[in-house]
Amino acid sequence: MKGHIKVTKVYDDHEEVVIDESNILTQGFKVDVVSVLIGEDTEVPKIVPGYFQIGTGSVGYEVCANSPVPIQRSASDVFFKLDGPITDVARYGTNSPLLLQNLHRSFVASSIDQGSTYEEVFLSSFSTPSFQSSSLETSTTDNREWFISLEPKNLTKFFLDSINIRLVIDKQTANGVAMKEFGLFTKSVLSYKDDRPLLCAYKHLTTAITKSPTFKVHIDWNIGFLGNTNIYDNVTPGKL
Amino acid sequence: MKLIGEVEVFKIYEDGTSKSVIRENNMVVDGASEVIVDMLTTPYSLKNVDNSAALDCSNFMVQAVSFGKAQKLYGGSVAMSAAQTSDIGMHSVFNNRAFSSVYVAKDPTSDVLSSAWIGGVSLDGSSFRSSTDLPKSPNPRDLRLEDSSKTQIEFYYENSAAALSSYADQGIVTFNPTSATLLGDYGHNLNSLYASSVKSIATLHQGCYAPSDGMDLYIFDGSRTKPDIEAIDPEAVGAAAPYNVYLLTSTAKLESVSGHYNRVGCLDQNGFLRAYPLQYHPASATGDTSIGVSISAADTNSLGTLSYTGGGLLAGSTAFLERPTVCYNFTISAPDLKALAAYKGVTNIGLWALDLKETLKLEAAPISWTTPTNNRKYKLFAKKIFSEDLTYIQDINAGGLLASDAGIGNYSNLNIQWRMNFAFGDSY
Repeated sequence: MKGHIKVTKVYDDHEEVVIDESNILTQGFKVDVVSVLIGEDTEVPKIVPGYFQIGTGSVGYEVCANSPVPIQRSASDVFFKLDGPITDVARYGTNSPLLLQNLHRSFVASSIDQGSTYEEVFLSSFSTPSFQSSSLETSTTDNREWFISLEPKNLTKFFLDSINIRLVIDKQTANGVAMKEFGLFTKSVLSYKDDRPLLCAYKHLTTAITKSPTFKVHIDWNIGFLGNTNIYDNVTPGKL
Repeated sequence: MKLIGEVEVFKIYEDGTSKSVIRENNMVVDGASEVIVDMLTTPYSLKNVDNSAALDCSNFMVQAVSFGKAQKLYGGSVAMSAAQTSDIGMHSVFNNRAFSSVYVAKDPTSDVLSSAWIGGVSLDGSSFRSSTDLPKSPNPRDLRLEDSSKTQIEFYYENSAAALSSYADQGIVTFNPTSATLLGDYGHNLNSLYASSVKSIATLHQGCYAPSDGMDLYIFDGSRTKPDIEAIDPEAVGAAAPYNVYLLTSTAKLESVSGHYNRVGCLDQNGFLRAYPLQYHPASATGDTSIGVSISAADTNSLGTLSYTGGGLLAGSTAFLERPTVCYNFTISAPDLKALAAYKGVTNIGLWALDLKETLKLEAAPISWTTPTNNRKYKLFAKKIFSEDLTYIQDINAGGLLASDAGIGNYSNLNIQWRMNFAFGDSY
């Protein structure tokens, strides 16, 4: 399975594709799918992508000291948060049409002391000798985060074997923010009454997009078995 | 991220020990991607339907396993004869001219199939002749295990200009199959003969599992010809047709082989072996995986399954967290292997999820499971082709005809673990 993201700056008279490339499906995605396939989850819509975050940092998942295959690849998909998500709701803009929610975030926590204490796993390998047990946890009451809520209209089936999530950051939203990372979250694997988003896909940019009122940003995120027939990999040049 | 399937087959010995005999990768087909994408796009709005369980995970899980073999081994081709037993399965050493009167019992007033049997020729006298024909090459776009699983009786029915009932004139009073008695073509082994109450020429041909109340298995020396092994009822000699014909000496015989899957009722007549999440498996306490397929979280390298604690992930297993794995664990018991061997073995297996769109046309969720029939429609999720027949068995004493040496009598249970790993791929 693969993820693919296309970010386009849309001006009044032309469009500019910023990136059109693969992203990383994170450990959270595996947790979601496996929980359904073994009948552990209660209802399938809980693993539907439901939230989005924009950040200004960058998770360095390409380098992980504890990678299971350190020689061939030193990356890790074991992380559950953005490096610098927007924490101040005011930065989204007072006139933003986006639906924002302040929610607890889910993550896998590990313990190295037989369960006495748990800490969020971040860029480490589960095969690390000190790693002993884990559970799925959520952030504390004081650590809620702001998430952009995806509506059903944002989610479409793209062919039979992949989905497309389209988010529009309009001209009035997040102006002045240097957008450098994006995170896609599923709703709530833990079946809480209120959603507890779990990071399922992540992308960071080499160069930040500093949002301005002169353009909108279209984010098209595809997840699925992206093959030869439906790959979304053609870089479209900007139109004049 | 990669979705990697791996199939491992264990031979289970009488003392309970096991030995891994095959460990190979499988092919995940397009059906899996469709099911997973359906998971990711199912809206909550469906919940508004009264009493609907359309959002249950069970609708998106693997729900069945099926077994099959190369298309040629089901019934050959239209041009072939059922006498070509080196090519096709049990039915057997008798040609298909009116499908042989061997099925007629000596007492014409009794159940004509009271002495139900499966016959086949042997390689060396005491085990079924396995086939080297392999199933078609796997393709991600496959919708079934094989393109066709039609047997000789289906070819005969499709190509006969005359109504089949007319064959009664030739003395084959029981040979009156109608399309209603023939099961569909699913591309894998059917379970047509699930009980003696449904024994007929049609079910004997379509096979492929022993009925719950048992049947006899015969093996005949491959060098024998049809006249060598059948005889006309002496009482009918000189009389006009219909003749009653019965079998002469076989080289090996097993009586009253009772199909385990049919005895415990976990296989429907279309050949789908039911799968359960571990927590709902009828033998979850005993770990008996011969009663349907057990689905659980698992270690990638373990014969045993892991208990799932709920709440997201299980504790204490670094291996599971490193590479989350779903394990489909099931056992083919020795009696079922014997019958499957008579029907030319098993060289491919398939994982099936529900084809929810088609199933919901017939029944609202939760979709019930009953045997021999139910409303479930399936979508192929993954398939595995083996280069060696899983039912192949080597005689203890090759060529020996002692009952204790007969290969047909020495089957052991086979445990199969099919694991789907969600690994961190090389590309991301």
